[in-house]
Amino acid sequence: MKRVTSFIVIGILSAFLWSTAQPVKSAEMDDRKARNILQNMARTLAEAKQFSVTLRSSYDALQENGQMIEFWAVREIQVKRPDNLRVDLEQSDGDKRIMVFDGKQILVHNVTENVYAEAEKVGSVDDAIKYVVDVLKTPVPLAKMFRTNFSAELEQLVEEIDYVELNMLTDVPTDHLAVRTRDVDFQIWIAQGKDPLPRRIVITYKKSKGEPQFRADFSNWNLSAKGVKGPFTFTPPKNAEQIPFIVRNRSGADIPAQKGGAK
Amino acid sequence: MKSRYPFILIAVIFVFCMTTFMASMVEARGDRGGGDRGGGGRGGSSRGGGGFSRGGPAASGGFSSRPAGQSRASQAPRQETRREQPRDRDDWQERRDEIRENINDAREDRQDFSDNERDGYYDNHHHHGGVAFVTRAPCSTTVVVANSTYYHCGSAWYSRGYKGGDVVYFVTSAPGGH
Repeated sequence: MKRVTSFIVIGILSAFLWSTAQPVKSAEMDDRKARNILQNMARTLAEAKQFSVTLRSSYDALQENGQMIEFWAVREIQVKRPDNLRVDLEQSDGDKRIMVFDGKQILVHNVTENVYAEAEKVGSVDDAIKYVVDVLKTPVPLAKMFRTNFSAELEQLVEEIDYVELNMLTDVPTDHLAVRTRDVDFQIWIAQGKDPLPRRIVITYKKSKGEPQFRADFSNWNLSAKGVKGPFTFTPPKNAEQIPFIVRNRSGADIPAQKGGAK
Repeated sequence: MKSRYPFILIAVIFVFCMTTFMASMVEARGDRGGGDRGGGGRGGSSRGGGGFSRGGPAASGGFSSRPAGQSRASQAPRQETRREQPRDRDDWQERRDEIRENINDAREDRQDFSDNERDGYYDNHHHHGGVAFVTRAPCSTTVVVANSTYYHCGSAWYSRGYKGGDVVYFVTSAPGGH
């Protein structure tokens, strides 16, 4: 009888240990799976010779009275590597802008006010995006996503990642991932199938007061050459006025850049 | 009595194991936001309209908290100071930029303070040690000289420039002939 009891006790304990180990193992597998999905998406974007996409976004802006206000924007983004970029922007207040990079200069046209500014910049799309964000201090939402080193950037940024679920309510089934970085948390929905491209992203600025969010839905992805029509050169409309970029110099002073661009 | 002991022991172990197992499952699911049915976003409802600040860290849509190109007056409160050690060259560069930005902001704050003390009011002009500018047309009187529009407001002249993705109006000298 004692022997039978011992077998039963050992059996129960073994079953218990095995079963408790499963969720941990499963979580690790999910994390690895999530990381692979994210990296696969980043590589797909980085390796694309060209692409166009519609980005419908919104973000929260905290007001002085503490109220959080949401603003919208729609961007038609076209990238033709190595050195062509075009962004057509329309904000929720009706303001329309165009940004064009042709490999030699960056030109921003405010359609609403019919003014434009240009800056000389020779280089790739990657260089242009970095220049626009870092030097011209112009917001380019999800800028890292459109650069070819996005995969490496993610490697550095991501501290935690989880596979949330398979979302069946997006236009195609998407993998929903939850990612944590030092500065922000973000969720991303990536299409399953041969083109693992993002369909939605929600970024939470967890270190900022009120934890505002940026949300964007991606649609009309087109990775074929025919889908990227440009134009990547810009001819100022009649009566358009050229104005300077105002850039911050090394001593921290805001100054109008010389005609021809902010160096 | 002696023959009942093994069954009681098995029952106790079984109950303990099941309880612990269920607890670990709940915890595991909790960590993952509810497993397959997890998720659930936060609401973001709000109204748009004029007179509201469009700035803040979320306006940049970046993967960091630093707002790109937002004028100081339109920024949301500054992010908390990072205390972590930089991890690589980019981080060091970022830290240096941040320090430089803080120094500039401090200088700017001192400038703003002295301006306010002198003027007795805050006139919504932004000074960064260079040109002063405002984010809205300062007046409606315009003069076009050599295809450039100038705004003549009292004794001051303004011209338009592009800053942080927006058109701003910066103080300039009077155009030739004025």
